[in-house]
Amino acid sequence: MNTIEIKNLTKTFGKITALDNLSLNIEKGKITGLMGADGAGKTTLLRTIIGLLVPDKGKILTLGFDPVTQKDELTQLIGYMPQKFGLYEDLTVNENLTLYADLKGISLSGIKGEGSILNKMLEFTKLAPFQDRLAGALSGGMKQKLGLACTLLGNPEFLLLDEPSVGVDPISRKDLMQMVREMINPETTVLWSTAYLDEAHSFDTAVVIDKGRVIYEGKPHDLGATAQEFEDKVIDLMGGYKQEESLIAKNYEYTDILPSPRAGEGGTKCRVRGQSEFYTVEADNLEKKYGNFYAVKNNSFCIQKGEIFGLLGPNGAGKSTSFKMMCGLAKPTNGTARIMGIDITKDPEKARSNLGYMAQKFSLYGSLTVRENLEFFASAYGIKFKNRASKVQEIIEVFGLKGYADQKSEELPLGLKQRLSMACALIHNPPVLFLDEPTSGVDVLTRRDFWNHITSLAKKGVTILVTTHFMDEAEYCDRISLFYHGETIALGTPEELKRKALELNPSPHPPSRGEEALPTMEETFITLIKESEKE
Amino acid sequence: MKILLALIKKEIKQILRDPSSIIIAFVLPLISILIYMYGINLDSVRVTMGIKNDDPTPEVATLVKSFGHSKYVNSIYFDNVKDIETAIARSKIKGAVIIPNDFSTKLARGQNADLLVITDGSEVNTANYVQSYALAIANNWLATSKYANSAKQPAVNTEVRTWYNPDLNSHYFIVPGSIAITMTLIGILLTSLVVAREWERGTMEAMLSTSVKTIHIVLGKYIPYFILGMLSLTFNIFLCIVIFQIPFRGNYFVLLLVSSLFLFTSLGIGLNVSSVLKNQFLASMVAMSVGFMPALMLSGLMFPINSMPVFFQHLTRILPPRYYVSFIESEFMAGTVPEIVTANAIYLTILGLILFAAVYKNTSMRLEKYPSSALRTPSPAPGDGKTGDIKC
Repeated sequence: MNTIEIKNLTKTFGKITALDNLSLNIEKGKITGLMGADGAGKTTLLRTIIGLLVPDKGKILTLGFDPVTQKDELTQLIGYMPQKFGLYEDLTVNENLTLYADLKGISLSGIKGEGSILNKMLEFTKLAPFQDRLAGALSGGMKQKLGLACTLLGNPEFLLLDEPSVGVDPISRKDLMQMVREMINPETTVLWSTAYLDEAHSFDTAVVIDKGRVIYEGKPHDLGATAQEFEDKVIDLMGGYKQEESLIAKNYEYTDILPSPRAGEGGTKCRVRGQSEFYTVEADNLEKKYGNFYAVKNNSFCIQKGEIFGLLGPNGAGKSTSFKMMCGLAKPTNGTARIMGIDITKDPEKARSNLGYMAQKFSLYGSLTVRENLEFFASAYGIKFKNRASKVQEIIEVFGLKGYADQKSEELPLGLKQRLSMACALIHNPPVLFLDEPTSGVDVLTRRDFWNHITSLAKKGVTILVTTHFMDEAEYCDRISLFYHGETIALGTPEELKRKALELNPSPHPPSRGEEALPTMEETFITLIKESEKE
Repeated sequence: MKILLALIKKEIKQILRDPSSIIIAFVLPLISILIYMYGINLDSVRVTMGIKNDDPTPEVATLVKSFGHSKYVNSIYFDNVKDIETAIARSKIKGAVIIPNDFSTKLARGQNADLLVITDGSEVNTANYVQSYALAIANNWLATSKYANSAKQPAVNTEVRTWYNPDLNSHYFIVPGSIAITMTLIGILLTSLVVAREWERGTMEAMLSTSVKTIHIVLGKYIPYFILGMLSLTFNIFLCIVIFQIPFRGNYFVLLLVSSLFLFTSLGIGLNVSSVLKNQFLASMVAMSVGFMPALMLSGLMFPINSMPVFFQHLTRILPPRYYVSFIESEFMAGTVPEIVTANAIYLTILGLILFAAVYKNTSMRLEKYPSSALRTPSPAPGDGKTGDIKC
């Protein structure tokens, strides 16, 4: 029996066709992963299935009901977690759970007290110690768990999750996955929209949609035996990624800036080792204290010219705080950072002029056009007026934004927004680039393209400091600093870290094909964090 | 029923935890009453005037003195016209009276005597006061002076009695009227934010996928804010009557009843704005312009409706503040007048019900709005999908 039967579904928004004559059946009792590029129609499909949107054409049967005319009957049987989780931030964990229990008409008797549904949920999400905390004050991972707990109330027959793991660290993602698998019974159908292909690889069924049509429907293992192969295949299905020479990098002119003299400074962390190399980015015992709480403690690292340096860590580990201090946006309580040898606490403006910064959230002016945004950043970075127009035009061509130059930047698809953000950060040819979760919420194709530019820029001599949640992306980094509770718990090349994890947690995979089997980056991350928790 | 209670409980918790709603409900009324009480004054004011006397007789000296004794005038004596000019230019004095040298001679002969009153036309209101004060003081002086009999008596003698507000104290109607403004703020500004907030934060999407029905959402917003509004109203009335000693001649029950009807209409406007716009910033801007400004300017509180252009006179008829202001002024100063109460109460009820129906209609259970006909036939004709604001 099928939970969903969709026939020739079409849904348009003005001129945009979100779903294009789409037909799909989803089997009962299975976990189905829904994949696709940004704007492929994933969210629209989920919303249409439960009647939040009405299709233009076509027929849907969800659990035997027509969501258009029988939405009320249908909502009793489903659990839907929207992208923004739907939590009331000014209510506590407990109050959110109670509210959703009431809204779903779950009988209040047995809701509270020992062994009740509420307690079970709290226990299960490990949120019991935080039950009186406001939802708005929870970390990203905890919010997601609470959102899922609210969705799971009342044992829905059909669970729909819209990208529940975006922006969540690997440990929280693992917990989330485990929660779903443990809480549902064999009869429950799950439709899980995701940008993480390794996640989707572990599901029963994979559905890939592109431009509002289904382009693959089947078992994930039929596409690829490993998560990596699966990812490559899905990318092929989505039109394939052709690695081309990065025009962005090709166009970049690295101006070799000589290290500024550091008379009298003598022994910085980076120089003590007696190496002669010049470090473009240095963090020297960076520390940030809020009251008695250390957001960042004793953070030091030295990055060489042309190196890609990754900051990894769970949500709330202090990555963003470190980043803000490195850019001079937050004042360190102790220690300092140097960009191209210039002390960020002493001359923040000069240090920043060597820096291109891409913030975590889209931080351009949404109501300005692409060209206007570029013009603004060009002037903000001090590019002279007579050179500005030609520089902007050049950037527009190099970044492939030509067709969009006069479109408002808020109307761009996510991938192009990302590219525009990068263009704005690179407009003054900075020797150092800071990227704060540049690929969060971006589809796999755009991510590959993005990293192609990043690695090419590094080859041209740009120093790159990047934070990311995607463990596979950590592999692109030359060196990684693993961050936890405000402190560096491991620092080294991806391979060094993997070996370290292997020593701690010997051989999760039997060696095969004659080579030594190292753990994946994700396993490494989890092992190292668990190890630091023991201490 | 249980769903409704859960929603109301949730909303009340949100209100209690959000300092801004408490500020709007209780601190704002206090501030606005203080402003209306001490800041705004439509009554006569004390003005400073210059006096130059060119007729140095003992009789005229008493006229100059009576300018000094008036409780409405501060008088400053000048010797030459030049000084008066500079004093007016520097706004030291608001006007001047010049008594010519033949003043007493003319009066003694029974002729009309001239008195020059200079006023500052750049402040029209004050200029009027200066003019009428000078005239009144001169006439009073004349009536008690030895020239009283030789002056001509006017043919008609007017006797003025001001009913309801004998002192013509404008606070007596402005301060109660300010209740209308505060109630508008609570009803419209607060509620304009609350539905939009649920859309922005994504809680509406989650709620729509549960067993919640339209009526739950609508009443779940109306009831908590109605309670908050009534509490704020009681606080306002307490401030007016007990703290600021505004005379109240009406009936408390009638006052609360009609006020609750007015609150009902305000909530309707706010919730309509919020449900349609789904964006907090936009909703609050629209709420201010459709709610607050008319309450201030088109209610008859500050500017009499009769003296408005005809178009605006008609416009005030469809806005609730007009009915409430007219009610509250008469309730405070004249007591309960059944005709006024019934007429205004009926208008407010009708407006409130129309707005409630509109809120119900605008509260969609889906992410887009659909004509109900489109829902019955699952394949509507192409081209009626007017809404394109939902991103996929």
